Amino acid sequence: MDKLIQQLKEDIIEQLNLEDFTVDDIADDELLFGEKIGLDSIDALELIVLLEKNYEVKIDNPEVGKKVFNSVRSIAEFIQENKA
Amino acid sequence: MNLGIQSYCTFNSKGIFKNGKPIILNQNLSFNDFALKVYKQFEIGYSKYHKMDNLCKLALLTSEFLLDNGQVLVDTPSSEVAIILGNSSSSIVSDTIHQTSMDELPSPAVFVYTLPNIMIGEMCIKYKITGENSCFQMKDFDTSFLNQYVSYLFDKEKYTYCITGWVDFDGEDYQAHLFLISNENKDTISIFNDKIKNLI
Amino acid sequence: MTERVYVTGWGIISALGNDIEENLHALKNKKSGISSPLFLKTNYANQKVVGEVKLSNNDLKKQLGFEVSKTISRTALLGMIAAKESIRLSGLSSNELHSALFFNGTSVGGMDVSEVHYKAFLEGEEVNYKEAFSGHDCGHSTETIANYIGALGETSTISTACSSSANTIMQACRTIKGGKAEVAIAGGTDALSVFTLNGFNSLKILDDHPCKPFDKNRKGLNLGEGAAYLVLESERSVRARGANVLGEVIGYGNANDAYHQTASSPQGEGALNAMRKAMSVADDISIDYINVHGTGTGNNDMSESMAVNSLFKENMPLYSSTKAYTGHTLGAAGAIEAVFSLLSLRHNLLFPCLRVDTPMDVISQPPIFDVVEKEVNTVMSNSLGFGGNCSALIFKK
Repeated sequence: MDKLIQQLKEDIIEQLNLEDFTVDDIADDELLFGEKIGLDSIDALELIVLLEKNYEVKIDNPEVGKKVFNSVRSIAEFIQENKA
Repeated sequence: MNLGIQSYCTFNSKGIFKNGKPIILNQNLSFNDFALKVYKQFEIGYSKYHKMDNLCKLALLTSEFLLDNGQVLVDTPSSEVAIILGNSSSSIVSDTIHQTSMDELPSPAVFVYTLPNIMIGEMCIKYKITGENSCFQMKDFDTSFLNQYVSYLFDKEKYTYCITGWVDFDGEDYQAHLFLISNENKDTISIFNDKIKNLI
Repeated sequence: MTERVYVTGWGIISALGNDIEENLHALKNKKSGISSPLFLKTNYANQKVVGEVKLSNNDLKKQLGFEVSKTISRTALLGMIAAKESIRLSGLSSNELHSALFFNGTSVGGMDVSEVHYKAFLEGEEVNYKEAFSGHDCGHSTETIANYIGALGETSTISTACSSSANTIMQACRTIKGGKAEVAIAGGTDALSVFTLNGFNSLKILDDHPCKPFDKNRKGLNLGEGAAYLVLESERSVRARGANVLGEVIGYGNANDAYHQTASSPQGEGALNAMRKAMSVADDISIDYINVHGTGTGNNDMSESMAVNSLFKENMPLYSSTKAYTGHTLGAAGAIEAVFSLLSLRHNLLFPCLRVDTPMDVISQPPIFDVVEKEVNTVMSNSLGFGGNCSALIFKK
């Protein structure tokens, strides 16, 4: 799980162009759409693309995405539950 | 009505120049590398910047210097600032990236930038500008047309400032020339007319 | 005294039909133009619905007198059809056209042609670059259409996403009012392209079924295509040649929402400011009907509802979105809906929001569900584009 979380943080920083952040800046349970990281609706869509491309997990409904993308940990848990 | 140029800023492969004087010179860095250097060196501190495509980064960084990090507009109601720009290559770089990625998984963050007026949207978001805004597709920088349009705006509607000029990025060449126009008797550098190209 | 600007000609091609009469017929009879794409070569043909013009490129070329072998973008073809009709119905002579200005709004430009050849190029096929890409620029469509109809004055191309052709109409009016021209043709054109279909799909704002603007359970928009142009003239010119007047443009306004690149602010600030400006130019005239932007997305319809509510409060005019008929025609939307607004004025008919099962309850009254026969003297038309570019036009009988 820790390895997955680490990888996810790296992927998220790269895919979402979070150049002002390092892996250490993002706590496992940090709210991704909160004030600090400040992701928006387009980032949520990019996360859906990221999950499909890098982790082979598909989210068809953006509403499902809202809950899954709460934090890096919740994404990691979703991947583990749904990986093909 | 006498309109004046409060300030003007150029960003091209030679560097960034404000009111004719160099702010920072580019020693042969690519746009990507130079823009990032500028972002860090001048502590722009706007995380949304990194998500933008190069056309928007060019527009945003030029605006930063034109507007002194937004300070110039601080006391002006948002509706009293307009942005009227000319552009030739549209959003060709983002268009090409989107086009090439279409057969796999197209990126929504790339598609968002496949319109030339998004750069104006980004400027409006950062500096809270809500006045009139338009993006004209032109073969080259038509200062006569922009002069007419901007003059009309000041004449008919209550604007304190208008940002006008040319921002273009075609993947290899890039040019941004932004002018901050005002109608008040502030210290202006020059009269705003269709000869503004002489300044750049 | 400010110069008045009259509409003396109009032309349109859309999913509803190939000219003014056909569009009116479809609107009156509640015949939506949304269907599976027939001509657009897309992998999504069986999954998505669009508002496609029911003519192939070859049909369009034949109608315009071009050889079918000639490479011309569909955007330009649609534009030429609509612009040609507007000139014909205006009765302008070729002499009078010589000095006419031409304002064109488009977002797609020649992308429909470029994307086919670019794909071929990436796959290693031989490509004639000039033929494939010389028509790519938005400005090229503008020049092609202007030359075709013989409008030899200055041309202007505006690319501000979904508000492009509302902005061209606004620009043309200002140019006439400013005394810089007597006649201007203004509007816009956009063709469907795989580029835009894939792009909007990646934003997950498409409805795979015919869209339901202003319905509580709306799922998104349908892309559409088409073109429309208005011939706009000064009062002086109208009197001088005894032109037939179709309506008058009495208000226009543009503002930026300053919120997000592609989403609208929750309170619809940009839309509200644009409508306010248009009302101010129109001396706060009472509005009888609003042709709202109403794309059918969760975000737009909510945001626009908030804005409309804020502005009109208890004096809410009747309103509807005609995108349920045509789909969202992007750069052409402002002009297409300007034509629909003028049709409403001339025929005292208001066209409904099709397919609304459960209306949204944000505005004090729901949109109109059926064709309404009512005397209307003023119509407002909204066009809200990506990049926060919001415009409103007001037309009068």
